[in-house]
Amino acid sequence: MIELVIAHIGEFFAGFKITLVIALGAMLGGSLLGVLTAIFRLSHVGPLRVLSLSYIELIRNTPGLVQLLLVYLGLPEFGIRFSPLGATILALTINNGAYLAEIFRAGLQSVPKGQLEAAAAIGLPRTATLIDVVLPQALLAIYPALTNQFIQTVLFSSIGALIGTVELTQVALILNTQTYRTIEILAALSLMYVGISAVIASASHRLGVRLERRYH
Amino acid sequence: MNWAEMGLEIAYLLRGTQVTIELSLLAFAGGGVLGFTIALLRVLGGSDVTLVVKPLVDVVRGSPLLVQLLAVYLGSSVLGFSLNPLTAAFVGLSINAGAYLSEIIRGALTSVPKGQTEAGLAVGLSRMYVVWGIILPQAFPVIVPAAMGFFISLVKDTSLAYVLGLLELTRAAKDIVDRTLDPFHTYVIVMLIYFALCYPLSVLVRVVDRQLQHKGLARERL
Repeated sequence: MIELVIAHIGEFFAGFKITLVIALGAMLGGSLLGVLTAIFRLSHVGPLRVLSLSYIELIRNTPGLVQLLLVYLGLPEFGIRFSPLGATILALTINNGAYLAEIFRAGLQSVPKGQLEAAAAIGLPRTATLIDVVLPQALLAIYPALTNQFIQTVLFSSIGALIGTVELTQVALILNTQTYRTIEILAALSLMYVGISAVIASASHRLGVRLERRYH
Repeated sequence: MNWAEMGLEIAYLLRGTQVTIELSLLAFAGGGVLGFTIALLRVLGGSDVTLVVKPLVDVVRGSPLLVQLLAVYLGSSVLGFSLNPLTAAFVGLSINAGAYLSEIIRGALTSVPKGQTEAGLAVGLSRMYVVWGIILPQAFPVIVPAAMGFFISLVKDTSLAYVLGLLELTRAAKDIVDRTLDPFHTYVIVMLIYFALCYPLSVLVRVVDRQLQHKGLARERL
């Protein structure tokens, strides 16, 4: 197994990079979408609440694979075309946004109201309140959930292989058709994902310890 | 093709939906048995059992379900006992569900205060009985909503059995797309069918969760 991986290390690394691009893209895009959705969801404007809630429920109650196929195969009917990579990033961003919105909402709601009242009472501007009071506390509450979501996104990015995105899983599947060393290849592939997940989990743990030390 | 013509394809999609529901229930049962066994082994078995079982659970939880399904399906044929797509999907999903459910169950079991176990053992109850008769009933309100939430994920995850060629809902959609060349309407309808399956369950999970919180049975979670 090891010589097989070493012999094809270049391909695997290229696939790994694409997997990272998809996951990071979907986390960044999804975070923007998620924050916006969470704010809409907590707003006092009815239509915004309905809009954000519909988005969250529709995405969270349907399979990401179908969302991906809709983006990649369905949108071209309206002349909107994406490369496999583009479609994968877009679909996973839309998917992630709905899950992240709920995480951010929980984070915002975890900050006690008294904190806002205290900030207002000492005359702190609203933006400073948000950035220096609400955000650190919200992040501290949600970073384990964010970490988990990031890992899930890395794992889920493997569905990009089904529309021909040459990420880590697709690299392995191509290699499988060339060598037929199925078991070794899939075992190595699983271990690579396990390694990526473990690195993310431990990095987040270390970051968490630092955050706790700074804000508690 | 328009929405009216699409109606003719619905019957085909509904047959796929039936397979999706059956596979979800089977895998939930399989994963439930596996997850329960793993959780009990880890809670009762001590550190040497954990040393063997935990890495296996971590590997399953740290790698994509898609890869696991392919490993079961392609792996079984390489090893000479080719599983059909339905069996492979059932085995792959059960293993995956077992790993996640074992963590849900184990987490719930360990959330019950240690004093309960100590008290049970102190009055001379067997370890098995303490877990079965004292810890489990208290862990149950934590397990139920989480396991129901996991079932919703499982319904969505069955769509990945598409790669094995199993004729569930997502594969049925692909057949229709190949025939009608209208992916947009097809996948929108398929999304709505999945939504019709999952959304009522999501609402139910929230209701059950709120009821249990209200009764003070469930512990606080983020």
